[in-house]
Amino acid sequence: MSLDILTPERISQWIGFLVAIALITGVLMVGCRRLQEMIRLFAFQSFVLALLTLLTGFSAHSLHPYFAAGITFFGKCFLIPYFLTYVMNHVQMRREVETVVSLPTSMLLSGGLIMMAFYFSHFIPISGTDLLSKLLGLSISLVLIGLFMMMTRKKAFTEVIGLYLMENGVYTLTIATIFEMPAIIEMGIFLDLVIGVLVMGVWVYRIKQTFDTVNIEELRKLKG
Amino acid sequence: MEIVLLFLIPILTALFCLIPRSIQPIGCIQCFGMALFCGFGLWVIQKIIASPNPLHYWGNWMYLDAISGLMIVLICLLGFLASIYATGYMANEVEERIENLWKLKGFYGLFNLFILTMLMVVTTNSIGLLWVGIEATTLVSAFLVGYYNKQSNVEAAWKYIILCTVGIVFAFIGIILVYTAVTQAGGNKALGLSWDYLITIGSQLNPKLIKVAFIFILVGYGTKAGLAPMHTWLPDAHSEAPTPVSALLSGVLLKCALYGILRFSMIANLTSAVTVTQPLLITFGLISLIIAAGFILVQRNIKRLLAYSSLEHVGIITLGLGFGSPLAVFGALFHMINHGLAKSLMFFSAGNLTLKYRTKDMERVQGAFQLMPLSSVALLVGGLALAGSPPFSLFISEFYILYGGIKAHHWVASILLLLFLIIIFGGLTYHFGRMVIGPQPTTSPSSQTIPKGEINRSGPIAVLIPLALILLLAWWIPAPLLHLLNDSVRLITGGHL
Repeated sequence: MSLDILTPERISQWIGFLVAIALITGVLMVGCRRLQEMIRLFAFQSFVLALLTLLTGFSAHSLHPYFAAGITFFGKCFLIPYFLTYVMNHVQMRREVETVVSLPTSMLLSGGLIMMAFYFSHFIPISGTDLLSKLLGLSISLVLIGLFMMMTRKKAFTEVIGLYLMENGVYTLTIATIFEMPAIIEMGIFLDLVIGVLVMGVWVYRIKQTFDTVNIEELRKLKG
Repeated sequence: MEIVLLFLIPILTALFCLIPRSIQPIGCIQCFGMALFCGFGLWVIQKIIASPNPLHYWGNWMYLDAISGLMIVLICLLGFLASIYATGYMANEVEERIENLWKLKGFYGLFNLFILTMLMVVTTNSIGLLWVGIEATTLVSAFLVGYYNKQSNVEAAWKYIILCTVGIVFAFIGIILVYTAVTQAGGNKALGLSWDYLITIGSQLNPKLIKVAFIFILVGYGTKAGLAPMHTWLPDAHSEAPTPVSALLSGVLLKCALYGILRFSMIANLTSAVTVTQPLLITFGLISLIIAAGFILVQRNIKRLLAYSSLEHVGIITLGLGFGSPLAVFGALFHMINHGLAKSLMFFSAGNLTLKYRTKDMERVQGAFQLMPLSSVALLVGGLALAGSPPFSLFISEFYILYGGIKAHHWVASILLLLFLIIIFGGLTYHFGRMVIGPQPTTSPSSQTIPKGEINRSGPIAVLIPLALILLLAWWIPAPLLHLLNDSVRLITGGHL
């Protein structure tokens, strides 16, 4: 009785549900007005992705995804958001998002990006399962939304968040494909991400110190 | 054993550099460490040459074949040269721009760490760890690019980090697609990310998927390799980094990224995706060449000029790999070594000049011959070598690439290559000729106060060694190096020719 919710059909439904939530979180992140909310949404999205990993691990009867889910949960729901918040408070930037494209337009555009991503994901010849095609669409959407965010937001800090949104997109692709990836590689990638956010935090801080602003529009001395 | 030592030496050197309390011993320790590094590098290379099969270490995590051997040659040689140069250069900088000794120690720590990460990139057996390594090189070298903490440094470092990290995200998609192709072909999942396994299973992979994967990889690692149009970080980072680091960035790091592309193209070439990989490599190579030519002609900052010249040479190497005939591939691999040497020569002599004149503006560096004859002659001669004139080894390798392209019937690309080489030749000789020959500018008051003579003792040594080497390599390639080159060409072209 208790396993009723975990039949293959149910799991497929759950996965579809979680993919939709992850997508909506992505769109909301683009529409966010405040940086703190953006970080929280990132943590929430990572949590959804960790759940997705757990579910696929359950349906594939493999232990390995549990490990990946644990790492993701620990790293992206706590470590990285915590550090981002720390940097944000430490640098004392204005908490609002500054953007080139207005927020509602951004949300609409990212909706368009999602449609494009799901359309084009059919052309990548990953034949096979339903799970894979759903996740592929989600993955490409998140990568595109992240890229869009990096291009249109004015703060160095939001570039980092956009980058990690892209990274979430790539991680989604690994959920579907990498079951037996050796753990040492996963650890390496995880370490890289955490060190990456530390290093970028340091550079945001240095930008603030030398330019007295975190607006990357000021960074245009080097040309030609 | 020897590989463990090879990895340990940069770490130990970094640690020992923390001990001394004055500038001079730090430089000595660094040079000594890198000399040892070269020694162990030679030992490893000798092992690679002696064994008929690629070497495996640490279970299956390390994989050393002739191509890795070539890259180790490059890392050891340029690491050593840059250390010699850094000894004098950083001592000069301590007087002017570095506040305290700990900052200098930090430089050497990061420098050694940077070498370590590059070593990891070229020796790992797993495409996953290769990705980790390349990202690690970005994170470490960003601190070196932004070392002086001025506005321009911070800007360059930020652009470098963001662009290369975005690029590397795309490369990761490519890696996952390759892995998917392996699982779809029913391959061994645990080994699906290892080079040696991918080479054996390569021909069974789904060519469509591999094509898509290769495009992602090329865009991703191409960003790091500085292929146009993803090259925009390159001139900033190269011009803002301390000069020894510029030489390493341009001479080794770009090649490490090319190494990643090369490895993937080897796998892609086993399938019918070869019809896509070669035109793509040729196109990206040509675009890089064209953009570099344009910027070289109008450049005023000498370090940016050298950076764009790196872009040109990366384009040439990519073209050589794209032509795919054994001769062109031989030329491309040989050109990696030659360009590394010539570019460190150029950065070092240009660094001597900029230290002397305290400006990177070529308009204001004139008549250098009267002030520092050795460095300025090296700059002029090196400029000729870089532009591809005989009797230097760069001429030989560029000639091989061109000849290989024509033999493989890539007529249009070969003719374009020749055309842009000529344009760039004109640009480089014009710029360097004006800097070295001619009168000193008498109008500016500052020129009166510049004293004659070289800036320090280690500068000329670091300049003369690569100069001698590129002259030597034009006439005689040492047998071990030739062996490595031939073996690499056989590995790369063996799949499809």
